[in-house]
Amino acid sequence: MIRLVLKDSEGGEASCPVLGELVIGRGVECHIRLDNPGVSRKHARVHSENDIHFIEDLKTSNGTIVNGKRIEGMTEIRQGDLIVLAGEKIRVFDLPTNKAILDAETTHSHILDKMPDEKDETGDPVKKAWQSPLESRAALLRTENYSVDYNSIGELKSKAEGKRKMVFALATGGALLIFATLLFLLVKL
Amino acid sequence: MKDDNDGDATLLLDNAGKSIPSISDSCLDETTPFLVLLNGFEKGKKILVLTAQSTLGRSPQCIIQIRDNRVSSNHAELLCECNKITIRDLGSKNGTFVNNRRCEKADLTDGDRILVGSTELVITIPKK
Repeated sequence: MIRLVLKDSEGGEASCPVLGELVIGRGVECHIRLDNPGVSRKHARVHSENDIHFIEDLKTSNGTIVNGKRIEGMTEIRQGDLIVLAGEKIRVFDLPTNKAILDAETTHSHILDKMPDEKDETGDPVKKAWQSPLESRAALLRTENYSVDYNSIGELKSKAEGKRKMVFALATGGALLIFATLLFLLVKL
Repeated sequence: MKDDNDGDATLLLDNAGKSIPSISDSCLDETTPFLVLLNGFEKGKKILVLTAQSTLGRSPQCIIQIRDNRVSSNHAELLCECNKITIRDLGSKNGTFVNNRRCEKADLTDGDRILVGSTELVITIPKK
């Protein structure tokens, strides 16, 4: 399976997995809608057959360009290919999109500077996590352990504390009861 | 070549005989609605919404893929109709929240905050 990844000039990204057939164009009926006057209403069709993927230009005036060549008829597309429809660049990625993630990391890091500075539990700014794949993996693990607001940590903690206290009280009570019974028996005998 | 039978009203028809179109810039910046991730592993990522029906979830088959363990594999979907965007929960485990309110279906306006799993997103809908 492949994924088509499209980027705008500000680093924004749109991606779409190719499941069966997909039409790209300016019209509202298209799966991927490109609001660019140079793109035809129905511009190109992408489809998959037995894990081989094809793109077909739908007889447009501006054409569809794959790796710098204007295509005629059906053309096979693979991981890493670049499709251009009137200035809109679309990259082809294999799924899973590990490469897309790495690519996204480098492209989107500049947006992070514009974002409000958020800090994680350890006090480090989160954007540090983007510096290397290993660090971002660590950041991922950190976010996995991160508790959400509506499951507030305090509430959970107090619940656990209450449980522990109850168990402790029960155990002490039990021990005292056994001790008293033994003492009672000892005195009687 | 193929140019005569094109029914579409595309620009720059006088350039049609050449193999390289002269339109070279992306036009998506001002008109496309987009989401920005506010936290998590991919914090700051900007996701353009180009599809009429965009599924959102953890699975790689989703159009908007969110890497968050608290997000269901098919969590919600975004429906775009004439620049009106609606979010619909697809029976997710942890729910979909819009502006801190859990909802099954909600119309989105510019600047709304969406919470799926532990991931918060903010939507920007440009006015046409």
